[in-house]
Amino acid sequence: MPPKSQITSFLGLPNRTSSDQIEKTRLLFELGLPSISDANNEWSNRPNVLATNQIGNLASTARAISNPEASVPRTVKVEPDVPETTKQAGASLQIKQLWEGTVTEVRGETFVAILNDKSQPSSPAEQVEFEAVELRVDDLPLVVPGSVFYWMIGTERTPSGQVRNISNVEFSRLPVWTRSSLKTASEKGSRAKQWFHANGSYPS
Amino acid sequence: MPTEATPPKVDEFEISIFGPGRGECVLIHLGSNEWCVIDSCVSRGRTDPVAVEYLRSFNNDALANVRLVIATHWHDDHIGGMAALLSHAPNAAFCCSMALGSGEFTTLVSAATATIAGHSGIDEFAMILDELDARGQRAPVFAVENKSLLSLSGVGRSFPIALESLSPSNPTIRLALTQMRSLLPQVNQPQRRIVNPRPNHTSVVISVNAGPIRALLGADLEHTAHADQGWTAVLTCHRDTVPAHLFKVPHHGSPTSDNINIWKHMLDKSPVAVVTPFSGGSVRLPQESDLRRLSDRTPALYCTATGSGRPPNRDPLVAREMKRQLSSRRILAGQPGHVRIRWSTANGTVTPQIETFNGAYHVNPTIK
Amino acid sequence: MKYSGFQIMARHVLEVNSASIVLAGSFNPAIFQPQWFVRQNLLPAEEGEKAEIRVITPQIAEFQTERLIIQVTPERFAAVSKPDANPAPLRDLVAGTFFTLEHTPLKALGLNRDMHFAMPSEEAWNQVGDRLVPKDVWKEILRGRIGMRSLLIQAEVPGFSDPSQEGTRLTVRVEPSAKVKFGVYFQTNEHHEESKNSASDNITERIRTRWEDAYNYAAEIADYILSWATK
Repeated sequence: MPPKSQITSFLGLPNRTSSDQIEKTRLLFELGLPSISDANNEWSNRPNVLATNQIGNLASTARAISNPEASVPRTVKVEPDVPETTKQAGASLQIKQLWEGTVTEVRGETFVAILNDKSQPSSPAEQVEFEAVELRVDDLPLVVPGSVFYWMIGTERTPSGQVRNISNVEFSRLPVWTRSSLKTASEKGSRAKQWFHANGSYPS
Repeated sequence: MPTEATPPKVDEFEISIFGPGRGECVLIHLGSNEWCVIDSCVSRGRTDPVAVEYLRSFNNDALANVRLVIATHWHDDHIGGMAALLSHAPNAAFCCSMALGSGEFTTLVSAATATIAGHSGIDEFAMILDELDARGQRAPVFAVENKSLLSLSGVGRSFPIALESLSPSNPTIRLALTQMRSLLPQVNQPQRRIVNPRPNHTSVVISVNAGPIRALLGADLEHTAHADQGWTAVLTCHRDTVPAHLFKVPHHGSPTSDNINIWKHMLDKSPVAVVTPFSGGSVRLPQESDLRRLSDRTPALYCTATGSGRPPNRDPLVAREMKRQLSSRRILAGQPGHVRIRWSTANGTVTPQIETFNGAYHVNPTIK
Repeated sequence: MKYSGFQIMARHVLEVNSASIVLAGSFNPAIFQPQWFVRQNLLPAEEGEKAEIRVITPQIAEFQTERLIIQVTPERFAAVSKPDANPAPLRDLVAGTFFTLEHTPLKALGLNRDMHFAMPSEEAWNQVGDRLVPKDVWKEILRGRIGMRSLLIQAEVPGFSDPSQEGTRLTVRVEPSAKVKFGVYFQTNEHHEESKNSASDNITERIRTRWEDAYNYAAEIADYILSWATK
């Protein structure tokens, strides 16, 4: 596989980029962002698709040149080059079971939650009590009624090829209510109340 | 041989009680193929609510003849599928507790629907409001103590029928509003889901009068020491009225909903009583002791289900981890059992025909 | 539509799995530092402290944590789950970010998934390429060894679950995997344009309501194609 800067010139993009631009291009490719040369040449208005798979780079950019009408979603563009920036050779996660849980009650050292099965959505919800679960220190303050968490059970292959079982309870971080968002909710609530009490029909 | 899909005759009064799915459901045949539905639930593994499935099984357009849908609670656990039910029953009016017409509640709905994680516990009610809005129907019937919800005279019908709400009382509504205010989010508070609050201060107890037949549907109402709340408030107004022949036992038969005076002053001597189980909460309901207590009160006690069914099969690693980390597990949604009680109004008798389906059973013979 | 949940059916081995949410709009990269996310309750404090910052400037920001990568330019915001992490919290992070930054102009949304499947044999792997792109006609005009390098399919859909949705397109890319021997790579992009009738709320709402279905549908598409191709 040729280096990325050569891929760009191989596809017939004007080979007039300065060494400075080549450096910038390389940096952006490493970061998985659209080539800066796109912004500087006649291709700047064409959709510039950057796939996460290196082979895809070649094909999609070629299509953009040969078929300027090709409508490629803009939101495919900036996909970070996961293999380059996150490459942990061989590390992968196989999720065997994922639940989304809601804490309903805290009982001292344990907590009760309702689990919704995300791996098999047709499975019924279950009410469970967690007794022996290791939580991150950061997550302990989140064990309150209404908090949302994910419980994932699976296997992980480490970079060295070892397979180990994992079971993680990870609490979801949800944003805080702002004054503005609460004001919006309150205004919507008032309008809904007025609508609710408007003249209607009773069953006769 | 009648089956579950055999519709009632036009002059038959029917009350069907389903539960538990995620929640429970009561259907009332008002005569002339017209229906009222109270609460809603969905069977495990199904998409349509049980009320839709049941009425559709008759193949006689019953869904178009649903006149009233009543929500006795606002949490998703009790009204699962109600929005879908309303969409299948375009001619039905909607009824809910007066407390749900408050600004506190509508603001709670607005806030909950904006939360990132969704499934806030109030999603079903938000969908109900959307459904009512879509059909241009406003102003639900608001239920409060001693209010007529539906009254159909016997003219041109097989029998007259009237539904009246016996709760919530005004002081209970104030408690409900206080409870809702405590659930409203505050500035700088992280978003959370709304957990089903206890007790249910919006519970709507319904009295049904169909000709000579009376039924008392207890919803979730619990008994408190306050004279103006719970069953004490109901008894204050309805003591020694015409006794009910059918009693839907409130709050899954729990001791907190039990009041001997209901049996003494509001029910027939040996009424048909139906209890629906509940798997959520600290304890499973009804417990054996509850069934024994209720069996002592009437020989005609029925329970809609024995349990929620088996848990799904799991991968061995998953099963092992669940066993290691969990000290208890309960399936919440099952295949709802069904107790059906039908009375013929043609001959003026109050003796019902009782049928059980899908695991529902007559409790008394099994109690030792 | 039938979804298989957060787990592909066991017929096909999913070796590497990653998801991303990409937004087009107007952003200020400099603010998207790990500590900002921690302060907004969107990242755990420990994860924020251990985050590896590659660059934070007014033109570009990138950092990665144990679970994800964030990349921001003035026109793009991208959040990517790492292949060895649970992708489920990604939605919460992105939706939470733009709930907090409620006035950010958002124009488009991409819900993306990248999957590398291991085929059971070289023969099965070749069979996928041959079924998707039959070589017969190409062999008549091209010389040498001929193979499918990439296939891109696009479907413009009025709405997956909501017929009133506008500007939704699904793009599926299928290629030989560059990461897995005898592997097949699927990339899906569910693209949403901002509705003409509303502002950023619309896009944020789509993240909340479509993320899980888009994620699951991606797996269903891959499973369907691989099953068909190897029949």
